[in-house]
Amino acid sequence: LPNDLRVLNAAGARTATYRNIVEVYYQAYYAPIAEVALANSARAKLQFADVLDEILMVRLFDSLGPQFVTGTTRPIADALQAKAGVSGQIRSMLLSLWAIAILSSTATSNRGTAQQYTRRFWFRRSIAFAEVSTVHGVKHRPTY
Amino acid sequence: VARYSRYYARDLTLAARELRAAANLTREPTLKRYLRARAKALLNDDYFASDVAFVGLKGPIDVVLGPYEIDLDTWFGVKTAFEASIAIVNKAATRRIAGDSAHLQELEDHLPLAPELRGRKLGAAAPVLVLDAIYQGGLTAAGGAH
Repeated sequence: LPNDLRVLNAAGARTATYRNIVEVYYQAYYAPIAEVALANSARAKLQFADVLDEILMVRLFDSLGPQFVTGTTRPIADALQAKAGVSGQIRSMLLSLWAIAILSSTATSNRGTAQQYTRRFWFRRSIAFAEVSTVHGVKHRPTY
Repeated sequence: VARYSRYYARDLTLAARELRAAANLTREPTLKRYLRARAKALLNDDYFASDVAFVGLKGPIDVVLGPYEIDLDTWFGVKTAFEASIAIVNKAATRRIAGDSAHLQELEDHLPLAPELRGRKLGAAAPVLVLDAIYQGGLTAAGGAH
């Protein structure tokens, strides 16, 4: 927020994540889905901090790359209108995967960060994919 | 077009009064500025100054109050719904994510894009805050955009 283009151009924006609300979602949805979606070995390592940090990292990575339509002050999301939601999700996932690859291949000090982030990324995506698969009646148990 | 300040005059007048009272109670200058500006906006439908003040919030208390998201207007996608939230900045988690952002500029500089589209100086662009909500109302409480 805020959504007003004039404000975005004049003062920027604030990006916030409600930690305790994410935790409620984690307890109510993520953890039960993880029970059936993750392999035993992976499930034993899953912690709330993994899910929260992955959400936060995605938010950080979202600030990368062009944010406005080239040559204008119009945010890309505003230009995409109804397609902005799906496009934004795809953009976030691609940026996350790409960031992992770059962090892994650059300074040695980043490799630990990249490995940790990779684990978190696949934990959360496994759970999300399981949620979608369940809706479509498909049993899903990846082995990450 | 129905102006919210006119259509909801009674409720918004009351809300504005409470915001001004809250502003008088806080010593945190950015919150005080935001609450006063937002009280004014509720009564004249001009949210620009208070939105700028919102972006400038620096204290430990985060307040979102106003008509923002259009999720409920499935016909035209223009009518905003009121929402409110009060939250405390989780300093430890916010500091931790700020530490992780140390890699951001390096990533921006290596984006697989044409040179003119990458390498933007990120500076303090849109810092990510971690909050603990203590109250939510309106669209937010109904499971809206947040």
